[in-house]
Amino acid sequence: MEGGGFRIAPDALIQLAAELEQLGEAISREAAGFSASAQPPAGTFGLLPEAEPAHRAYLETAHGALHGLRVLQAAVGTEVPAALRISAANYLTTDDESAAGFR
Amino acid sequence: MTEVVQAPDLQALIATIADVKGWVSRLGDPSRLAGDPASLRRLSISHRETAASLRTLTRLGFHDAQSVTQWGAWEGTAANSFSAYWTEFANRVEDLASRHDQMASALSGVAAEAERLNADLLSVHEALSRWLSLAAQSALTIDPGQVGRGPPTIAPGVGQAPGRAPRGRERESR
Repeated sequence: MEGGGFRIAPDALIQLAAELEQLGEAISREAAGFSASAQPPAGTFGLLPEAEPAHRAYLETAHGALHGLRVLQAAVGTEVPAALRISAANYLTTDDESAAGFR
Repeated sequence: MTEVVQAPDLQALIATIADVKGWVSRLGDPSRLAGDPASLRRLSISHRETAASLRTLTRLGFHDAQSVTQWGAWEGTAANSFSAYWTEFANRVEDLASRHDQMASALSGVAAEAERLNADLLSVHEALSRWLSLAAQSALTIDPGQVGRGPPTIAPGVGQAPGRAPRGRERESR
């Protein structure tokens, strides 16, 4: 929108926040599924002594990947929805305060 | 000058090969020595599925965000900032998904290599077992009168790994 103006339907932001929260729950389920499946049983990387460092390295990588999923879940499922709800609330508050000057 | 391998040499060879076979056996199942291809493939599939889920979820989120910012429900500076944030966020998720794909491909490659190495190891292990069995029988059938005068009686195929030519029973000595 030109000229620094804006247009807002606060309900749309609140609805988007709710949809993203659902998405966050889906990411949380994905993270749980990945966490359960990224547990290689003993011997996955072989039985030679050199297999142990490979096993440890994979676990570290999987741990990093899981951390990435949790960061994603926190952002999509919690932080962004919270920011959207705050934005919606701010718009409504500002509108109410602006209206108060004319009462 | 050549020298005939004598019975004590055969016994030493049997002992050495038995040691090698024993060392391999102590490590565990030779068919899984280089890794468990099935487990490796399960891990690969898990990463591949995670990558696919991330892309699906990002698409859904992008659609939700677009429905607000591009259909007139939210316009202005804050809406533009949100759109820019969401675009960068989607790029980061795509990067994460790509790394899961790379891990899936690497694990799939390791599984294939482990399968090949395990097959080779199993083949060698079985060849050693056959050789030891035949060599042990042959050592018992050596005619003591032949020792030092000719090659010991070793059954055909002894010491012959699959796909290899039979090895001689003589060695060079200086």
